[in-house]
Amino acid sequence: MLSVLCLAAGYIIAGQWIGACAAILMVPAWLFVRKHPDAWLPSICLFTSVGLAVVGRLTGSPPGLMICSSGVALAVWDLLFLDNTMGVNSSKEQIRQYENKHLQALALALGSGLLVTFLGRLLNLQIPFVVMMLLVALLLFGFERIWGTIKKQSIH
Amino acid sequence: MNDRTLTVGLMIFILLIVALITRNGDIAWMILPFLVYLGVGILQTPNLEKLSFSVKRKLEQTRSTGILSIVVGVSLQNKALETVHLAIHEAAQAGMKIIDGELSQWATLKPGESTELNYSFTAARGDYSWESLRFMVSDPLGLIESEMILPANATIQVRPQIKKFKAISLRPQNTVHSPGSIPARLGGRGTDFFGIREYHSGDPLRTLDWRLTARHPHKLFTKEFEQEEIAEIGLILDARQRTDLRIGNESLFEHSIGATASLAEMFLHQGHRVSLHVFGGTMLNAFPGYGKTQLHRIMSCLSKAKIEAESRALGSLDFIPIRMFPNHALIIVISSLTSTDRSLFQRLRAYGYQAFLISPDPIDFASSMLSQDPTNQLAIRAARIERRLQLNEIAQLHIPVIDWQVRQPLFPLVRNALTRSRGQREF
Repeated sequence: MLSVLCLAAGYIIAGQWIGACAAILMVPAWLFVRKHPDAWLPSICLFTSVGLAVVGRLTGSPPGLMICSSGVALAVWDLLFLDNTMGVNSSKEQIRQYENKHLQALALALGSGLLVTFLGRLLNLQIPFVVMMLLVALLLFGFERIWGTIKKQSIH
Repeated sequence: MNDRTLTVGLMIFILLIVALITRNGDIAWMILPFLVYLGVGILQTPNLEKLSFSVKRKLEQTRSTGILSIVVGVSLQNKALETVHLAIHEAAQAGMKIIDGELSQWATLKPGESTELNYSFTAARGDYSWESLRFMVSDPLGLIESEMILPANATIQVRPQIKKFKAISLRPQNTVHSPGSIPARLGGRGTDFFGIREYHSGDPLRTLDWRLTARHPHKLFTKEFEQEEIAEIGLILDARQRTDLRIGNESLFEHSIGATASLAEMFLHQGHRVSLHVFGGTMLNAFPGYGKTQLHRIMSCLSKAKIEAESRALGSLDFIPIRMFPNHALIIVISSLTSTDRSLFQRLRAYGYQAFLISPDPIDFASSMLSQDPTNQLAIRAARIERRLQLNEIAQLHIPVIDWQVRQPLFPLVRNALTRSRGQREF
């Protein structure tokens, strides 16, 4: 709901009423996915929410609200998966402990992620395009290495 | 790596491309929460080389009759020095029905801590075994998962249910020279009077017939009693695919299994020597033996018996290795029969075996499922006539035949057949 609220508020501030309506339509979509968290439905909702945030930013909505919206959408998506996996089993002590650890890790990841994002936006860095491309290439290379390590671990 | 990791990675990649195309810094900043989320997952992924677990699987019993539920307990202890997050998933085997507990368990285990997965199930007849435990170790967010497989052996045998039959007094033509309950038509030690003969040196004095001795001076006579011995019984169970009939969850073969188990239990309880041969795609044997150990062997064979597609060479009962049964044994064949099975009974008679046929009626078994239209009724009638003719042909070989409609209790039919046969001095 917070994700949708941020989206809708951003669109309303920018005067994009169609965007605001589209954002509000995400409420029933998330509620439907909550009842039927099968297969790719939560991921489709996540992509739609982030897509709306990107469009909103490109059409002049406040960037803080859009970033917040995409971050919260990520949290909702993660919690839906957790809910789906645990099912009705969540009464046992050890499972509750598992859930708590998951929630702590999620709060740490998103809290620090959003904090760093907002702090970073305060710094007005002017990076030349060539340097930006190099950074992106470095990032992709890093990803490839991490991916390789993960795969190796999974096989192990 | 799972679908969620892929989704987050794809999202980062798409946002990066969009940020580059639009040259919008705010969209680039949107990537950061996703990156941190993925980074937290990667950083908290446990090092598999440092992980150590101990697994124990416990079963309350190793044998069951399938009526009572079987309780399985799996305990997993973390022996590593770091906390691990894991998900255990047990797979239910074919034939199992979970009635209590869960097959999945999630836990966060600190060093030394353990978790338990308990469930109970009922199962159809058969052998069930577990060799290992599979579980996933992951970071707290469940992004990077690694599968671990540790040995955790256990087996259980679900045996056929036995309907206890009362003792039937057999009178076979031949007996095994071992003390038992069947009058052997031989003089010797026993309880029933058998006859009188002249005294032989070594006869115990208490068996002397004093009255007859008094009437014949200078001669001594000894009373003889009928020896009581055990019978040699061979059971042949037909497990060919062509003789089985399955309607819904019910199978004609399961009725045959139940009948074989009950007969084996009854004969062994009476002290007879019993052997079993299961003839089908997979052949199983329990060689002749006595007592509880033999009952365990037979029940083990019956729990393993299943209907499998047999090769053409094993399609006929002619290929049963009947010489595995001792000479002159009483052979009980449990088969719903096909049209070419008469020759087995001819062979049994030719080899000098006594035979007895219990034939579960497939027509009666199937007729309840068929609609009562005239065509079906005509077909059922024709099939019944064909079956009656086949059973009559076998009966003409002096082989008692029980045409068993499986919804009827078997014991009265067996008792009546054996009693009738006893009058004919067959058994």
